[in-house]
Amino acid sequence: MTYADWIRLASRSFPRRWRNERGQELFETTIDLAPAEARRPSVRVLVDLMISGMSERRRTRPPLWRWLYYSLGGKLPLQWHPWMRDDLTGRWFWFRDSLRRTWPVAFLFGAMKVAFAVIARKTTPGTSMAPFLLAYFSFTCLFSGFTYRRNRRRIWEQHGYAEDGTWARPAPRWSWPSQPRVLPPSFPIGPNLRFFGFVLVAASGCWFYGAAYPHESFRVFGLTAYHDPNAPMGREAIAILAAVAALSVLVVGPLLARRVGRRPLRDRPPLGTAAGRNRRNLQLGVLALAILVTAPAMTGVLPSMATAAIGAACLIVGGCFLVIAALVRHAPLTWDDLIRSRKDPTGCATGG
Amino acid sequence: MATRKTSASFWVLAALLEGPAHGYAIAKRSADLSDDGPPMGPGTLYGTLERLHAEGSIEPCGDEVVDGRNRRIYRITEHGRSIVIEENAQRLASARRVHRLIGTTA
Repeated sequence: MTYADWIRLASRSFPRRWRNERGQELFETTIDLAPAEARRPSVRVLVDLMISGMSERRRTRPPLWRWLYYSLGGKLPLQWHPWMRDDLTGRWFWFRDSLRRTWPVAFLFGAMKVAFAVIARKTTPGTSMAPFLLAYFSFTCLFSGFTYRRNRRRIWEQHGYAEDGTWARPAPRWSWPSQPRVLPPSFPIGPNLRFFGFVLVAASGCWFYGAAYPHESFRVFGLTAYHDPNAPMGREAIAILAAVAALSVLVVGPLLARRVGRRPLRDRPPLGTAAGRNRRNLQLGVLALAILVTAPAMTGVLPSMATAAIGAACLIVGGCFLVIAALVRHAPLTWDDLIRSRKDPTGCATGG
Repeated sequence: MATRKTSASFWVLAALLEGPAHGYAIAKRSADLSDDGPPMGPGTLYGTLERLHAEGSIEPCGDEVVDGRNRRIYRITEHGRSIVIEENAQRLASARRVHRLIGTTA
């Protein structure tokens, strides 16, 4: 590597937007300050560049609590929009998006484990949730290949930008259409169908696992299990029940979608609105409730038959939600239209 | 009492007292003023420039092409001037105290 290559490599510690603006000047100044016969920069220069770059990154990133709020779908103030732009346009956005989806689950499971340990007054030195969290993180990484573009678009819109990152100012009120708008009846939980579907299908997996392996599920969480030693339902029967539930989704799901399809789904409300924040809070609440309700399945508290039945019910309901979300057409209206129409039912908007 | 400035910040502000300059010239001037061994590293220099700009102690005043290279020119603000004057006074006071100790203990 040449002197310049080393400098360029060390300069990558600076934020990308900073490198785009000042990177060439930094590079040229470093070359000018170098000794005449130096073939490689000294360790002092390289460490100096890396430490300064990391300091610049730390100085221009939002504080921890802002980042936590942002990772949960919150909005960042204008002063951190350059950092957000780097985050959204970076090469590893899909990976960071997966991390943001994993840490709330890890926090919830950690809190639940601590709560159980305090309530049961037992410690679990040999158990670990690391395999489950690793599997969950791998799943989100795999799934983010399909969702990270939509998430990026959502964050752009939430902060007032277009999909290409340019500022998208809202149209002035005087330009709204003057003809009256008639809203068709819409499906009320349309925006949440996909989310609820995934949560229920994941919960059904936990219930089936708890029904088939009550002893091993006890070892996973290290809790004292109350299980039925004479389990009336064998693992083959549980597998058949799961397959029947999955097949019934393929039959019932399209029928329900055909019925719902006559009523258009609402477009997803942006998180900057009250409806958007309510949707996010509802989703977080349902996720926490699903985790708390599913936890008993992993302890083998219920008999295998009841556990498998609950798993089948979750799979059917969640699977139907996913099929409906996939097949039903979305309304041509956006939330802006709905909000404007609610404020001006006649459609004749007046200035100011 | 104002927050004490780092050594790099002080010498960068002191270098700009002579007049506006770009990064390379600031590094040379500060090395001459401080009379230390090696000059300020480029990472420290540009990190300090960014920090002082964020604080309002210096401000960019245009770009200039020097030897075919585009350089950003910085100048010190009144706020920066007051900071370097105060910092210099504190350093002089500290040096006098140490000098008195040396005189009494010699």
